[in-house]
Amino acid sequence: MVNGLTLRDVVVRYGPVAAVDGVSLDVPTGSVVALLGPSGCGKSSLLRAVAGLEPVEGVVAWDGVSVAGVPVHRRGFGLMFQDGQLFAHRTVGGNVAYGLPRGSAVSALLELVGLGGYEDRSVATLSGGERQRVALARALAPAPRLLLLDEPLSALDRALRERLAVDLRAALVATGTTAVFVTHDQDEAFAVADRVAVMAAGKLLQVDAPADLWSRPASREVASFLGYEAFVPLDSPAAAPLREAIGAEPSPATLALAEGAFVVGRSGVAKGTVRGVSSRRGRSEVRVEVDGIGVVTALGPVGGRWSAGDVVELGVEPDAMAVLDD
Amino acid sequence: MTLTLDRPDAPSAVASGRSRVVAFWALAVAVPLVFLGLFFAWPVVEMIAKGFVVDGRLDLGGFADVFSRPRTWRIIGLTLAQATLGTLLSVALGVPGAYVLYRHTFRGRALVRAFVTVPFVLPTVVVGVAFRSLLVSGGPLGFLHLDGTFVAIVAALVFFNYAVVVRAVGGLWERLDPRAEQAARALGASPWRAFRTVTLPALTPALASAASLTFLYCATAFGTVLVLGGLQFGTIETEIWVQTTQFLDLRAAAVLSVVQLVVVAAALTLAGRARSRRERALALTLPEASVRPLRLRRPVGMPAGDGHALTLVATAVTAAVVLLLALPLVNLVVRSLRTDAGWGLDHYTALGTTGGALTVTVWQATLNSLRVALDATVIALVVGGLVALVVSRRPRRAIGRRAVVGLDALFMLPLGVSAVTVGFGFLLSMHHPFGLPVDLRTSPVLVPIAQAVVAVPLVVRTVLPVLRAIDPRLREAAATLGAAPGRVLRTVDLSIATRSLGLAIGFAFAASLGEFGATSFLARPDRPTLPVVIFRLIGRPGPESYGMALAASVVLALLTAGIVALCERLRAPGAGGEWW
Repeated sequence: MVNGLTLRDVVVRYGPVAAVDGVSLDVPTGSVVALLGPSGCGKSSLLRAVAGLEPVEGVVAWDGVSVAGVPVHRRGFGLMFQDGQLFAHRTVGGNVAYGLPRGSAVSALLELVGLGGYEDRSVATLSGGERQRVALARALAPAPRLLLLDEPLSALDRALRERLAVDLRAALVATGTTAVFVTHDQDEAFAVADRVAVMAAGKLLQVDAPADLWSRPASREVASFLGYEAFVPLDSPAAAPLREAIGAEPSPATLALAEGAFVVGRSGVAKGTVRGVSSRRGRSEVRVEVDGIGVVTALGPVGGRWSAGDVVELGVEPDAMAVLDD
Repeated sequence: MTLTLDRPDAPSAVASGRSRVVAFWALAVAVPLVFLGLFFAWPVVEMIAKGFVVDGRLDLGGFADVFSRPRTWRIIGLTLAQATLGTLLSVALGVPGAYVLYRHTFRGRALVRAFVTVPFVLPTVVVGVAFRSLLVSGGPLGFLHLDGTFVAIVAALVFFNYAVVVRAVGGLWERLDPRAEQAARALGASPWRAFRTVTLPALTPALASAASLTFLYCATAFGTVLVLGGLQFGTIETEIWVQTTQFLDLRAAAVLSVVQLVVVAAALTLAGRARSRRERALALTLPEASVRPLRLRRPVGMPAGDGHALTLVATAVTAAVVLLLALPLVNLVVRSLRTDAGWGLDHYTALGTTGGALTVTVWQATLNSLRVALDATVIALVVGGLVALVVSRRPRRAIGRRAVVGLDALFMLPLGVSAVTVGFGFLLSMHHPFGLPVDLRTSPVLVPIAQAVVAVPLVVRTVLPVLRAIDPRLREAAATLGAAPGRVLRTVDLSIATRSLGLAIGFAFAASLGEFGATSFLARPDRPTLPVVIFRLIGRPGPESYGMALAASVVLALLTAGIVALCERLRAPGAGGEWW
């Protein structure tokens, strides 16, 4: 018995263009899968197709039963939009109650999203974060068998986004909701989802748990999207100190380096020329050019001072490197 | 969260649900199509055919004949001249008005805004009577000798259309992001240059749309022109009336109907273009961000040359216009109270009589008008509401989208086609319709139907923008929450459209209360409406009849303005919280 959502060779077309091009994916009951990809990769189209809002080819099934021919409102799939799409002509309570049988209480749902007592507020008086909390409560209210979330945090500022991602994960777990979560932000995907599906140009590139995805990206494309910024053949001379750090043998495989694969000032195994320095949350990020590798972002200690042209010693951080199989 | 989930996929229920949806939309398209086909297209075609079909053969000789008459060219020239002048003046006065009334706040602004809308909803016959009572020799402005002149007609048209420009331009202006203009000022532009090069171009869509509507209303003006112009001045519309009722020259009337159709189609096309461009990449904002208090004295800290003079000029112009708008109305009321013996309610008392000439008392006619308007409003709401609903859809397929655009244009036609043509066409087509042995011409249902035809475009134009502005994802959100299509329609579309429904009812009611062009043909002698009675009264000699006409005009004006005001209140935020 197949459990949860099954997608097989799903294609979504807008005219002659296939926005989603043959995607197969399983989302078992109770799990949260993030669809991660750059804008325009087709992740939102896939989500809308699952909801029943776009015509779709291929199989979309729940518990092994195809939902083709089942209209949106009978699918039992909830959808939360990027901008919430709250009903401005209803109160907060009226919004949450929309998908519930008449007379059901909404207070527990509002408590769940941290907005207890907001029932009679007008949605016009809410902040952006509060609106999304209401949208989440509204989407969770009918206890959808699957909740689809379309970049629900993207319109919020960064600090709020990071806080809400944690709350969102908690709410999904607390209600045992099966969910597909679309985002272009990998931190968000890693924070919310049990598994992450990376998508590009209408196709799924890799589906894995966040940690596995990070340490074993399936291809250079996935690795670049995750933030790996430089790629070197494992058997090139420039890769020798890196090979040593991760204990790998020379092979034709590719080594991917994320930001911070090199660390300025640690016991030097390589040398680089400083091209620029910036600071993020106090830590220095030094753009260094390493012979045979190119320009990479190395991390430096707080308070470090360098000028362009300086030659610096670089240490290696094994956790910021991954070997690609292809 | 102990809600359990039980949603078995039920294909049969789904199929019947879908067929209900299809049936609903088919009905929503068919009802307006059949209504307008039967009560608009058919009478108009019948009327026009009268002019071109002689003994069963097409005969276009009428064109040559009618166009060889100097009178025809004079009338066309007059129509275009007064419509052009009326439009230019309305825009020139309306733009400062929009600036003062929508870009600024001051005490009594709501009152002034409501007041400038009054002329727009006034019945055309009342506007005509009000202007005449102002301009006749012996009237307050009698010394200008403007009674029965071209100037008087243009003034009345501007009086009527000022609100169209103010509302359309002001509505956009108050949402226009002021930072574009501020950027221009920071780049070294004077206040006037910033207005001319940044604000005015941004307002162009609203300006063009308002101007073409004003042109349309001016070019097809009937009641006002008939009352003010006498035999010397007229529009194509009044000329159609003159040709059919005075000269019984149906051919000429048919040719003129076609000419008017061309003029109207051109104006409507322009209006449509302007409307579709209206929402183009404009940076819009909430009114709170752009509206400032109106100050007559230069605020402390504002340097000279910073635009305060412009505001003062606009304020002065608007104040003058508001006074001029009030003049005919106040005068109408004052004159209706003047009697031979001084002052009194004698003319109002006389409304309870037939005045020696009418078939019914004025009060009976008022009751008739209200009944007819009520029926017409209900019909117009149903038909117009369905049209707005259908036209607001954005079908997925290209063919569906094209069909929607086509329907949109089709349903706008009654806005411009001569009401006189419709009214006379009714008389022609409803005599043994489809060869049936019934004569619908004597049926009392014709008047409300004809008035509904005129009111449908107003309902559509009021409700449609609200429906179009609904984000389609709002409906999708409702569907994903489990709402069936019927519930989505009820809880999203209808809930939100209800805001505009009050205004639509008001406009439809006002339009049919004041409708005169078609009604003048169709109202049965024993059941005249109020505008018909007023027109009859002013056509009779004697101060008694004239006094009654003035009093009846006041009654009609109060009724219309009162109902519109009431309906506009309906859409104000209610205590229930369910509506906006």
